[in-house]
Amino acid sequence: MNAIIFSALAGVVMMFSGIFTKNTSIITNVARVALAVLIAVNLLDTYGGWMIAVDTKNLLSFNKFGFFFNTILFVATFLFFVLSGRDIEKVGSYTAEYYALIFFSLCGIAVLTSFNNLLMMFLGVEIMSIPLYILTGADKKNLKSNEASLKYFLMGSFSTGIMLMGITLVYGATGNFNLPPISSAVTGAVVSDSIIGPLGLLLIFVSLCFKVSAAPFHFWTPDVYDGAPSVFTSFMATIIKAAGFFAFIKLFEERSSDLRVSWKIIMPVIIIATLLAGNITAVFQQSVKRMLAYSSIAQAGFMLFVVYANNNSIGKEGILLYAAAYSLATIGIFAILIRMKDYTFNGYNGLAKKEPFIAAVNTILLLSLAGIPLTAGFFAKYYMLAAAINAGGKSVLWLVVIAVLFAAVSVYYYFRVIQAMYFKEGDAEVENVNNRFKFGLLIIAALIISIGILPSVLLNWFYF
Amino acid sequence: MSAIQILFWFLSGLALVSAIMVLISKNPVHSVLWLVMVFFAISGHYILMNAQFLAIVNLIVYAGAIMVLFLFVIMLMNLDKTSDPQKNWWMKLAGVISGGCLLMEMATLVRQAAEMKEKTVMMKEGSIGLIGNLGKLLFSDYVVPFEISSVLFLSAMVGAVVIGKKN
Amino acid sequence: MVAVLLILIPLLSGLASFFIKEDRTVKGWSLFSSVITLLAVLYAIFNPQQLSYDAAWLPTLGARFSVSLDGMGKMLCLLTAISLPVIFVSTFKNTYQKASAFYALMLLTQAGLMGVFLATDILLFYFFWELALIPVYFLCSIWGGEKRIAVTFKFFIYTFVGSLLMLAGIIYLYFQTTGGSFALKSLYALHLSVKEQNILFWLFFIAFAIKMPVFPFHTWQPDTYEQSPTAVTMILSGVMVKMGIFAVIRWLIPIFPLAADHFRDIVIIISIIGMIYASLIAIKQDDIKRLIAYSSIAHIGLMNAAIFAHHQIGLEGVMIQMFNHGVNVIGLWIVADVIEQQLGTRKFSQLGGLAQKAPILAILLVVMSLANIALPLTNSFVGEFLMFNGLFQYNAWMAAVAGVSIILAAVYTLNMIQKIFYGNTTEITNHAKDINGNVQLILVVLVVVVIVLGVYPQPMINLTKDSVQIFFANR
Repeated sequence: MNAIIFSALAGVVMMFSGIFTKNTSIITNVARVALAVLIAVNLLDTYGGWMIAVDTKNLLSFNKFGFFFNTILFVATFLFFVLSGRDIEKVGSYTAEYYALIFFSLCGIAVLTSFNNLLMMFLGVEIMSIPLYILTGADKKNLKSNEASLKYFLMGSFSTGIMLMGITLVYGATGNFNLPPISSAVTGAVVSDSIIGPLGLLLIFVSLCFKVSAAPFHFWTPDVYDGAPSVFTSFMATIIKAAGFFAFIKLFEERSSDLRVSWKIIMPVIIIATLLAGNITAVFQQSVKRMLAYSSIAQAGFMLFVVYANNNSIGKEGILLYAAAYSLATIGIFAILIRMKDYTFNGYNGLAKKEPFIAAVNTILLLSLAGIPLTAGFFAKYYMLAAAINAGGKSVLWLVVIAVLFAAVSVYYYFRVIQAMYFKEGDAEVENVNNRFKFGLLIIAALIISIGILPSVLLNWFYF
Repeated sequence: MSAIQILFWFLSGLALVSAIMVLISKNPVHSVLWLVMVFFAISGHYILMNAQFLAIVNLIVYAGAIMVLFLFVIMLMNLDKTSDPQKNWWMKLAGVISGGCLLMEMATLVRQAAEMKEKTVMMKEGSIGLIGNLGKLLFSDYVVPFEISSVLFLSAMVGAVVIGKKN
Repeated sequence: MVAVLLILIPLLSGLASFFIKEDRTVKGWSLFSSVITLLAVLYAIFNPQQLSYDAAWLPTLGARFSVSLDGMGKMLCLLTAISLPVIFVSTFKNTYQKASAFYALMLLTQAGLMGVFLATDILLFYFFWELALIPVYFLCSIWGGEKRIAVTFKFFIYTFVGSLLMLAGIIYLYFQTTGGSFALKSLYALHLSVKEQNILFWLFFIAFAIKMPVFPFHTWQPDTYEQSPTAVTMILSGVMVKMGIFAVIRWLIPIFPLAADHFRDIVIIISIIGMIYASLIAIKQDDIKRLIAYSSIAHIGLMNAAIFAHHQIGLEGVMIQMFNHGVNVIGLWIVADVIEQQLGTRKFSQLGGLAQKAPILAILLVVMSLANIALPLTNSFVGEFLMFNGLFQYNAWMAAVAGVSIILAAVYTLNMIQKIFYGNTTEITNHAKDINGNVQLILVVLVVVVIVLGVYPQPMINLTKDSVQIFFANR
């Protein structure tokens, strides 16, 4: 509960900070402090130190998994603030409001990591998404940003509608909104064994697929990610997406059995479609930013494995690792991308000569996304595949093989950036590189590598 | 046939006819007005079910606010017959398919009507839809989502300011 | 503890090399480090105690950091440890841009290779398998020839696809063991059904076959060897291809014995096809590097066939030949590098009459080449003889067809010698000088090794005896 309350409060504080000062760097620092406080209170909550007790009437249920997920995402956001704070200031003249919106979005995430009721899930998804529609359009003079915002908004409302329809049908079938389904005999539900419940779940599933941009509901992703100001793309592609997956897991951990057999048919199809759509299209991109948008779809394909293998501990550990590995790496790559003069692959030519440190960090992060050992990305992928095999045994081996082949495809486009940086001649330009920026990158790279060598450091914390 | 049943059939007929009129009227302004009519009919249904709050909200929000906004937009865009977009064959096919899916879903529901005959709707005697009861529920069992949704509205307001204000 | 040191020394000294500014210092430092590693290996070979180390690594997964040296491991570690100083000395005169990064990556490659040969935990093995690849990717792409980027990338993607397939297999195996373990022992103890083995066999075999490379998976190899800087090519062909052979002996066949029986004929036949095919192409080559590359494919094919023939004598031959092939091919590369550095070309057609100008080089190369053809008294003779013997006992026809490749090897190797060293000098070779002291020293050492092991191969056979026994005991 701490996280929900404090993130909302922090949003309000940020809103008002704009009144008292016009100095954007002060506002950024306020945001960093507020986020640090948020992380601290969330940790207090995790370890039972101090918490605001609210009787939620069983609408929210807090557990360590959720708290831990909060911590990972908040820390990722913190690094995002540290690395890209200056770039948020540059987007437009409403720095304080941008931060406020980000905090509101985090509030939505905190709701999503603890919902125990479809109503709360809906609220969480909406609180998380609405600020994003605005952030996407924050660059008001840029037509592409406007277009992206409108597109995102329309598509988002559509998926909200579908989700509501699904929730309604589930309610119709079970007679309540609770997540762990109370048997219909107890509640006197109207229809106990009909198609309505599964149909409702399927609709919720579709709308969640939309949120995490799983194929075939991914078409908005490239345009929105490309059109939005790059700083906010970084936020959307990482933290928000990971939170979407959490909602996915939490919901279907309890409910996937309601979908009966269809689950084992739907999931592989969605996974393969997502991997295919993300990876193959990413290969043909010329702009690194667009490539990252498609790569985020591809990565979502891997994360879907954990939904497939629901309700096993390997999957849960895996999604924590994946969220951390993927978010950290992508935030770092975006932070560098934002300061590049030219967003195309050619814009990276010769970066290694000019800025060896930044090129080296970027390489580590890209290797992590590609899933090379010694980086966090390897164990993230490893856990995803292990979760699937643990759940399905021999019958999913083919799916795992397909997934690893796509992982090999992903190497192609990640390595194009590395090739540009190291093996090609050119004068890549990076703006505004200062020591703080480098220090932030160093921390991210260090985290990625230390998780890559000893993932148990992160996971033990989870069991602690 | 009791008065309630007569009202039910009348409202249902009105809703269906108006909905069809929304689709077939050539003038967009007329379409919107027919849509308002649909909302009125549905609100009537709500009242029949003793859901007064819902009925009022439906009228205020949909018929009142949203439709007025629609009218504004349509008038601003100044649609006339020449700019009527030609829909191609594929679009129509897609429409038929998706509409058909919905129809199938409805049919499934109706097919099971036999088992829910007795509890279909609580006509008259249900009191949960009354404003007082709803309010009590909202501030006791559902106070958490009620409070949390304030964050949603706050962020929407902040957003509106950010988007709307001139630089 | 020594086993851990073998990984740690090159790893740490490699990381340190990144920060050395001076070119000469970094050369000296890396040479020093590689010599220390060599001494450590020698120590390990002569002191059979404490050769394994085991520590918890990922307790939640059940993966352990466990390394251990058996006979085959010792032999391959020795090869790795010898090749690095040999490479450093023989290319001491070469200059590289950003030398510190070059030598650092070389040492990191060595660390990865050592890890592959030492690991007895399959996840750890996978880790090092990939780790050996990444530095090589950068080495080839930065310091390679003109077409380096595309060629190296092809190489990388090939091997990466293979190792990912292996990863899928590893994860599956993990869930089959009792309690979840990656340890070699628990994998050996597995009793998988025939159907499972048949699927998993290919997941692993493709990874290893790409690395070796065996016939249909070989297309990355000639281009990569040609485009890489010679120092890296030496590592690639001298040591890295042995990773594939090693993995088949250590992991593949003992874990999937039924599948290995089942697919034996297919594997041997593709290996033999590869041998003949590569030898025929080698005859057509005009480039020293490409010729050696194709000849290497032929030799590796024979080793692979001999392993799958599953005969004790054949396997002993493979053990010896792994070492010998490493020594021989590094020797050939050194000569190729000398010629390229001095004369700026690798084409036979532009060379000729070099024997008049560089007699010492000529003598040494001839010995190396004879070893490449496996003439009696050279080291390869023993290895190939044993391997053919093993193959013959499995199937005489296959052995006979494979034997054709020996004749073809003689054709292309002697053809190369003739074109480079005899005939009239050309404009390019007119001003050639003989090799300098460093290279001379190294080549002489290698020639001595070639002849000694050719006459008295018993130490090698003794060294690897235990691995051969384990291999057959596990049936």
